This record gives sequence, C-alpha cells and structure tokens, in this order.
Amino acid sequence: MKIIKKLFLFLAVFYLLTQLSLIFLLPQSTVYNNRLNYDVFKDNVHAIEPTVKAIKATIDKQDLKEYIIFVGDSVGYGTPCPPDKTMSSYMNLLAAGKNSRVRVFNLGIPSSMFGDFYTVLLLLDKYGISTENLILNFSYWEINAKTPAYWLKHYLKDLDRNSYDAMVSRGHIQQESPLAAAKAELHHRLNSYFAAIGYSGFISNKIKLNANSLLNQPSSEIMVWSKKPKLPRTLNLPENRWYYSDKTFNLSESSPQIYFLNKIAEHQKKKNTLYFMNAMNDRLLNGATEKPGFQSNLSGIARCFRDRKLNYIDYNKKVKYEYFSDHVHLLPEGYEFMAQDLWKKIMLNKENPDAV
Amino acid sequence: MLFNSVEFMIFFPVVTILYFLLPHKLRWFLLLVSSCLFYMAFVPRYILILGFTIVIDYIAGILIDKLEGSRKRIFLIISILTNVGILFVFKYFNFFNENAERLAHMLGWNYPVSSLTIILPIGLSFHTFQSMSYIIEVYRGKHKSEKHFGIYALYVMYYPQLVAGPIERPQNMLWQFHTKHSFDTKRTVDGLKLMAWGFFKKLVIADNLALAVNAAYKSPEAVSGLTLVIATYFFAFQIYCDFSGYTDIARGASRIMGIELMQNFRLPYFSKSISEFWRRWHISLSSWFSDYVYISLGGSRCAKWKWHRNLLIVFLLSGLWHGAAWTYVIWGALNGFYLVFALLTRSLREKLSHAVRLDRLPALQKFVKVFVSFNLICFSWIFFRATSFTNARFIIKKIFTDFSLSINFGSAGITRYQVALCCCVVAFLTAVQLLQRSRTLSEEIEKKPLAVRWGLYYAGLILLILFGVFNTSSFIYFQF
Repeated sequence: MKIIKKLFLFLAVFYLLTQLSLIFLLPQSTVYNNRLNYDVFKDNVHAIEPTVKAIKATIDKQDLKEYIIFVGDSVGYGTPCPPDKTMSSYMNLLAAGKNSRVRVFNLGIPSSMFGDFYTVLLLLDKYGISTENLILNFSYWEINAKTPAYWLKHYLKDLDRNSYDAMVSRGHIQQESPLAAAKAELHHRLNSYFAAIGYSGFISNKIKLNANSLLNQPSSEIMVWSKKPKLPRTLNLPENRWYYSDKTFNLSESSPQIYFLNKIAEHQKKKNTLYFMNAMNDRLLNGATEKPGFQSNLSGIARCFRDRKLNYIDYNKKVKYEYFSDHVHLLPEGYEFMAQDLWKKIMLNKENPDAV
Repeated sequence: MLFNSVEFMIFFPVVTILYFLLPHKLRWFLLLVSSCLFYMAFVPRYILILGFTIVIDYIAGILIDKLEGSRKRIFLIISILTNVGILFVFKYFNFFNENAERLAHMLGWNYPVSSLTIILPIGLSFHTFQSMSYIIEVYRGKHKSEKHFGIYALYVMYYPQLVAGPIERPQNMLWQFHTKHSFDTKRTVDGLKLMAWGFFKKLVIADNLALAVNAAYKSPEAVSGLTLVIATYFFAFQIYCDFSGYTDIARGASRIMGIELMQNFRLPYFSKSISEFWRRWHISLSSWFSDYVYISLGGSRCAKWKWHRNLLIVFLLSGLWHGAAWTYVIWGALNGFYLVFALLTRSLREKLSHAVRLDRLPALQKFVKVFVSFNLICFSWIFFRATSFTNARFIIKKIFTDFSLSINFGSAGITRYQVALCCCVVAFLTAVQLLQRSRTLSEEIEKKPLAVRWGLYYAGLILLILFGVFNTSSFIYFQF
C-alpha cells in the first residue's frame, strides 16, 4: 500500500501547490480582461465561473459601491473588436473621464440567448455580485430562437432546476442520458474543485497571446461591412436567413425566450435595468428590415417589453451604416457611439426610472 | 471508448481495482465483460460481428488441432475465408466496387452493383489479423488450440489492444490470461508511467501537431511549398505520437494487470534504412506480414526477382490493410519500391560511400543514412495523409515547384504561436528520443533524487494540462 500513499501524497502536494498559486498569484486580468475570455469559454463553458469570481475579486479589491453589469450576446461582448474597444470599455473610459467610480463589467457571450442571460444573473447572485444596474442587449432573431440556453444549460440546471425542467418538458432543452449527465457533472466538479483544470485554459490562452505578440502575429483586421464582398452572399445562405426573417415571431408565453425574459424581469424588479435590441444594418440586408413582417415583429417585441413595464430601446435606424462591420456587429466607432448613448440612458434611468 | 475520454478515466481504475479484488478464476470474465463494454461504446451492434468471428475461429481452432491433413486444412480455409470475407465486406467492398464501376463506365458497360451503406467497425483489421494469427499458429502446430471459450474470446477482445493493437500472437497472450497475476507495486508504477507518457504523446504532441497538419492539408492551395514540407514533417511526428501514444497507454494499462503486450515501436525515425524502419515501426503488423505472408511466399530464400516480388506484394497488402483507398495502396507500393531499390543499389551505394570516404566517418555516415531514410519515409507519408490521390499529387507538385521561402500556416488559419508550439513539441520529442536510445526515459528519471523526480513529474503534468488538446479526438489508427 506504500504506492497508494506515495501517489496520494504526490497528488495532494500538486493539488495544494496549484490551488494556492493559481488562486492567490494569478493576475485577475488573465481571467477577466474587460470582458469574458471567449477563446477559453468556447472550449470550456466552465470558464464563466472563474470570470465571475475575478469580477467579484475586483469589486471587493477596489471596494466598488456602484457598478454596471453588461449581459448580452456578441454585440454586448464586442465582436469583432478587441477587449478595449467594446461598449463596456468605452463606458468605463467615459466614467473615468467624468471621475466617476462607476465601473462596467462585461459578461456578454457570443451566441447566447435569454436563457443564458438569465443564468448569468443567477451566477452573479451566487457570488454576491449585485445586478442593481444592468444593461441587457439582444439581437432581433434571438427572441424567436428555439434554444433558450445554448451555453449554460448545466449551470441553469444547478441554479434553477424548475426552469431547467420546464424547458426539458417543453422540449426546448434535450433530455440528457444519465451517462451524459454524470459526465457533465464530473466535468463541472473537476473545474470547480481543481484550479489547475479550471484555470488552465486562461493560462494557456495568455501564453498564446504573449507568444503571438512576441512573434509579431498579425491581428485580424476589423473591416467595415462594405469592404467585405462575400458578406451579402453569406447572409443570403439559407442557414443565415433567420437573422432577418419576416415570419411572425412567437412572442407568447410558450416561447422559451419569453419564458426567460419573464424570469429576468422578475429577477430585475425594482432594479435599474436597461434592455436594448441591437441595430441591424438595413443597407447590407437590402431592405429586409423594411418588410412588413419584420416591422410587425419589431412592434411586437416593443410591445412585449412595454407590457412588462421594462425600459427598452430599439436601436434600429439609430446607428449609422458606416459603423457596422457586418449585419449587426459594429466597428469601434459604433461601439463608442453606443457606449455614449447607453451611459446617458442608464444614468438617467437611475435617477428617474421612467425617463427612458 | 477512447483512451483520452472521461469515460475511460472512470472505466480504467474501476476495472483494474475489480480485477485485483476478484479471485483469479473470475478475472477472465471481468475482463471479457469490460472489453465488451469498451467496444460497445463505439457502435454497439458491431459486437455481433466480433462475436461471430470468435465463435467460428474458436471452433475451427479446436477442429484444426484435432484433425489431420486435408480435413485440418478445410477448417483453416473456412476460418480464414470468414475473417477475410468480413474484412472484405466491411472494409474493401465499396472500394473495389467503386473502381469496378469506374472501369465499367470507361468501357461503356452497364454496371448494376451498388455500394453498401455501412460503417467500418472500429479496429476491424486489428482483431481480424489477431484472430487469423491464432488460427495459423494452431494450424502450424506452434500453439495448442484454446479450449476455454471465454479465454479465447478475451484473446481477441482484450480491451487495451482491441481497437488498435498491438496485433498479438497466441503464444504471447493466452498463457498470460491463464496465469494468476498479483498486484505488484513496481509493475503498477511502470504501467502508470508508460500510460502517462502515452497520454503526453497523444494529447500534447500529436493533437497539437494535428491542428497545423490538418489546416495545411485541408487547403494546400492556400499555403506555400515550404509550409507543406513542414506540415509533412509535423505529420510524421503526429502519426508516430498518435499511434505509439495509443500503444503506450494500452501496454501500460495492461502491464498494471500483469499482462505484458508486445512492443510496437522502437524509435523508428532513427532507422538507418527503410528495412530497419519497418522492423521498428508497427512491429506487430510488420512481423505479422513477415511471418504469415512474406515467408509463405518464399521470403528471400528464392530467386532474386521472386524475393523482390514478395517484398512488393507484402507492402501492397500492408498499404491495403491500412485503408481501402488508392493513397494507401500507393503508400504501401512506395515503401515496397524503396526496399527493392535499396537491395538493387546496395553495392553501388557502398562503392559511392567508399569513393567519397563517407565510410571513414561512421558518425556522419550514420547521420546521412538516418536523414535519407527519414525523408523517404516522410515523402511516403504524403500519400498516407492526403485526402485523395489528386490531393497528394497537388501537394507533391507544390512542394517541388513552389520554392518560396515563406511559411504561411496563417493563411490556413494557424497562428505563429501554434507553429512555434509544434516546433517545440517536435524538438522535445527528439531530445527525449535521443536520450531513449541508450536507456528508457523511466530509467533515466529513476536515477534522480526524489525532489528532481517529482519536479519532473509535476512539470509533465502541468505541460499536459496547459498544452494538451482535450477535445477527445480519435486516434488515427482507429479507422483501420
């Protein structure tokens, strides 16, 4: 049994060394640098938890009393711009310029929808991060999507079992086999209890970034949509037409997105919350957004928020065409413009909840 | 079930612990059931094919042992036809059928036979060859038939080597299943170390190289000739680490239970000739072809032209064994050609070596031999890796016509960091293998003080966690 003891000791020393060094010595910026690290997250969704922990550590360290949480999709995240050229980063610059101690934390996740947004809020609750000030963005097509929680369904299962079960019983989330559930649970626990596993993606990503910069790796160019000749054809592919569909959206209670919108509204009751829909590039979409069906869906979405007495902004037609990098994502100038507008609105909304 | 999966991380310790907890007489049953579960994790219904061949070969083995003369031969033929027949239907039918259809089309004939819509059972070529090895050995009288059906089934299905070998022989395996193996600390440590090294080779080296290789081979038109040369070198190391990594995990897992599997690789890229390479690469398959095909055809003890023909036949079959595609056939043929060419030019090369006084510098001569052999092998890997003959032809043409010195993996979506990482892992492997020429890595580490030893193990573990590719990618040889 000597070998078992030795093996146990070997692993225990490794565990202690990695836990202590990673938790206490790893810079928070390796984990959270102005936004969620999507490169790490897309390979391991459990990266969301160290990210939330890093935000919490920053809040505690800087003793922040007031901060804004940004939840949303790839537009909120800031695709295709670098982390310092997103709406949340520009809002932080604005705050710094005004000597305000308010900070904005970006938890936008590309390809996420209302179920994921809601789950992020629950995760923030779990770690004691206030959602008193919240900005939530979404895209037109997301409110009609059939997948409620694309990334974070295991967290949803953990944090709000009733909602998860409701989605499974409605067929919006596929029932897991016991083996798949056990595997997911094991993966979840390994990430939670072993810092070496939970943080490894962040460290290797940091090494990758540093090495690429050392080797002068050219960064991908951010281009205005009009300089992308293949874009109209790509958007016209059958699998991409749902982005600007003019078919009537299901905005009833049976929609999984509306189910989670209700959950979010309930969660954010009496809190300073701003919901907004991303602008769409009508010029690129060749008038698709002018179609009666599309317009009727826009009105339906607005009604949805109005009926629930939520502060909602539809940014369609409010963003210049030259600010777009594609059909919905923006260039740094676009995100800066949005940041200025959102800053004004969230601050105004804070002082006067009925103003927006 | 893949070795690099979460399932295996649970499966392996559970099976190993149960193995030592159970009395010896029940262990075969545990291993057989575990092996069935391991295999059924891929495509469950294909276990029926395996079951069918096991029953046929088991009965044939007993009858061959009992009977004499031509009656004995009948059962050998039945068994071999069954095995080869299954292999043909699942692996080669569509290949031959499509080629026949193409030929008929060229000749303007009507060809009514349609292709089958079936998936190739995982590791079919491996366990079929292992079964045939048993039957041939029994027929040749070199091994008695196995009377215990469960043990025989386990010989074919033993989970560590079921899907990608090593292709074992009955004389190496069957007695080990009958022998009682107690828990042994040293053996367990050795087995765990071998497994760890196998995982490192697969997850850190092979899977990182795969990213660059796949990108370059997927769009060869987007990258330069030099990039394709580098991608081909990367592939040489990728396939070695992928396959030998699998073998190390299999041998390590088996060693812990006291069952020793044969060595499948002996530093093949340090070979001084192609024939030496084939004695060091996939040894279990090379020796299978040597024992059961090459020698049966007359080997080298015949007329020179027959000897050369035998070599070409063996390598064509070896190519076909790997896959039902012309690229594999050409790969096999090319290796056969290398061997024949080497035999034909041996005296000329010796004279040349003497003329330039290379034979007076043995170290340089050895280096030149290793260098040439390695490059010839790498050239043949192009056919092995290419997606089609056209793809291979395009890559070769580009390598020999595009002389630009740019390395542009970037146009295939690979960053400079990834290329640098690939170079580092290749350099690391080469350094380790240079050390391994004199003694094993384990022996080398064993001599160090505890702190250094543990430090090295921790470093390995950290490298594995940080640079390992954990997307549960399959092993290349699973497809064969």
